[in-house]
Order: sequence, then structure tokens, then C-alpha cells
Amino acid sequence: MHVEGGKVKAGCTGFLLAIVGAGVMLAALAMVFLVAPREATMGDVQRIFYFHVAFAWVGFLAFLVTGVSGALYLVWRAQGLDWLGSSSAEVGLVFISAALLAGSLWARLTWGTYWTREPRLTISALQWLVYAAYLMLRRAVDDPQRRARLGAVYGITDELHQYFVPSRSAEGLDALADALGSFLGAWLYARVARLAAGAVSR
Amino acid sequence: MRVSFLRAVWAVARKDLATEVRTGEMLGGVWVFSLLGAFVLGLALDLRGDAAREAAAGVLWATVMLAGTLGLNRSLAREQAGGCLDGLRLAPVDRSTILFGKAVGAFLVMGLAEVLLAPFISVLFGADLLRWPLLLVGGLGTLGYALVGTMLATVALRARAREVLLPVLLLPIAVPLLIACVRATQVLAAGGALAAAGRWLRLLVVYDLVMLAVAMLTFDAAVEE
Repeated sequence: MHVEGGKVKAGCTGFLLAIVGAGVMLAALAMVFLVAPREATMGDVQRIFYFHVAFAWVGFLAFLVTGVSGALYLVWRAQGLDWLGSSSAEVGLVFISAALLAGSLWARLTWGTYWTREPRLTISALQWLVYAAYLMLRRAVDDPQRRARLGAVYGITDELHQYFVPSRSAEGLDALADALGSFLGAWLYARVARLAAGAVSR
Repeated sequence: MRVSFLRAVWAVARKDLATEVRTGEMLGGVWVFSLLGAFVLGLALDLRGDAAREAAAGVLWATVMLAGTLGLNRSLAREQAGGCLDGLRLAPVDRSTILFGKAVGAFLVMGLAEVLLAPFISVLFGADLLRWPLLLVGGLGTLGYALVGTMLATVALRARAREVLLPVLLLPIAVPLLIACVRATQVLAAGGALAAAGRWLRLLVVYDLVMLAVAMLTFDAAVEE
């Protein structure tokens, strides 16, 4: 009875979400095509932005969710966190693909080329490869717990390496270096202190 | 008996180096494959003069990193084949010693392969890669690559088709490292001062530190049974 009740409730929530989502999407489409004014220099091409930017945001944010839920999984070992991380990666792959497609169409119409060495295009493509690698890794491991563990390790590694993309400003890099340096220092200190205290094996 | 952290790391590295001295698998594989890669790229791109000189740094690092995945796969597969990883896991030392020991071993082997490769690329592409300051770039870049590579080779170890998986996992993460290494090498090979490559060298140092921290934090989970 309890389970059935939960199912009904989940079904209702899903249905409501679908209705609200459809409504909001229709409203957004109407705003994009009917309400938003025509951009002065780029014309209607600029309307791609309303899709492209949103796709890209979700595409990058989804992997942040994967990385964070991976880190939390390694701490708490809760199966739900692994599901959250892997579903987020699947959603992210779809959105980053859409962002790449839309961005490349826009580039063709504005710069006259589908692809150029532009930092944002490069990190989007890199992000796509990272999603592909993450999902390939998960498919190649059969044992669910091992899959969750290895996926989490890779998710964390990826999320951190993203901050190295060279287009980031020097100040941002310096701030990151400082923050990570202090974090690393504190952590190494704790580790060395523990080793020195004789807690070597586990 | 308690063993100090550094001695345990060195013991793992020495074991890898001893195997390497006897088989030559990793050094031979990495060196010959990257030499072949450079030769093939030279033919395929068909560059002359200045264009070839500017491409040399990119060819060096791209071939070394691609060939490195073969060596790293070999290094970890060897552990598993002999049941050696289980033995290492049982040793009464911190697990991260396995990571660092193997990373040090991979660093030394890959570094040697790069040193042996540089003269050939210099000749093939008409560049001057035999400059002392380049040892710094090579050291920092190879250190980061060996660290992340050992880490991800451990992740790929238990997966199906790990030979295919490791490059797919490793190369996207190594892209910032690749860019920094290539740019720094270009500046220094053209006779620039160390300061001129400062921005890229700083990036390399930060990358190494961040990956050191990430690897230490997550390696236990990667080798867990």
C-alpha cells in the first residue's frame, strides 16, 4: 500500500512537472519569436542565442552536478547520489551537443565558418568529450558499486581540470591557484601529521 | 616494521624500474611509437621551413602523450596480470604510495623517452629542441601527465576494453597540460627567456599541484576492491 501510494504521488508530480514544463517552454518560444525585438546588427540570427546560451549553461552545470555528487558519493556511499550523477551526465551530453550545434550554426552565419579556434567553442567541445568518456567508462564496468566508485573518481577529476581552460583570465587563474594552494597545503599538513602519528596502514 | 612514506614510494618506483630494465617494454613502446608518430605526422602535414619549426613542439607533445597512454596501460596491466596489485594493496603502507611510486616510475621512463625523442624531432622538423630550459617544461609536463595518467590507468584497469578506454579518459583531461607544454616549448625553442614562458610554466605548476591533490584524495577509491 505504502509503495503504491508513493508511486501514485510520484506519477502526479511527474505529470504536473510535464504540464508546467510544456507551458513554460511554449511561453519561452513565444517570447523568443514573437516578443523579443529583432537585433539591430545580427538580425534574426541573434535569436539562436536564446537557445544556445541556455543549452550551454545546462551542459556545463550538469557536469558540476556529476562532479559534486561523485564527491559526495565517495563520502557517503549512497546509491542515489550515483544515480543523480550519472543521469546528470546523460542530460548534460544532450544539452552540450545542442549547444555545440547551435553555436556552430551561429558561427557559420556570423563569422562565416562552422568551426574556429574560439575558447568557448573549444571548451564546449572538450566538455562533450569528457561526457562521452565518463559515459563510456560507466558502460565498461559491470559491477554497480565499482561503476559508481570509478565514475565518481573520474567525475571529480574532470570537474577540476575544467578550470584550466586557457581562455580563463589570469586573475581568475591566480585566485584559483591561491585557493587550491591553501587547500592543498592544509590537506597535506593533515596527511603528514597523520602519517607522523603512526596511522600508516588502513 | 614501519616504513617511511618516501621509502615506500621509492620501493614501488624501484620495482617498476627494475621490471623496465629487464623488459624495456614501456620505454621501447613509448619511444618507438612516438618516433613513428612524429615521422608519420611529418609526412602527412608536409611542412617546410618556419611552419615545420613551429609545428615541432606540438608534434613532440602530441606524440609523447599518445604514446604515453600505451606505456601507462602496460604499467598497470603488468601489476594486475601477476596479482601484484593485490600484494601492493596488502602492504602495510598508505595506499597513495602505490600511486606515487608508479607515477615516479612512469615519469622517469617517459622523461627518458622524451630526451631520446627530442633530437630526432629537432632534425625532422628543423627545430632546436635541445635547450636546457626545455628540461623544466619537460619535467613539469611529464610529472603532471604521469600523475594523472597513473591515476586514470588505475580507474580503467577494471573496465572492459581498457586499452581503448584509457586514452579516451586521459586525453581530454590532459588538454590544458598539452596546450601549456606546447606553448612553453615553442617560446623556449625559439630562444626565448624563461620569463617569456612564465605564464605557461605557472599553468603547469598549478596543474601539477591540483592533480596531485585530486589524485591523493581519490586514489583510495580507485584501487578499492
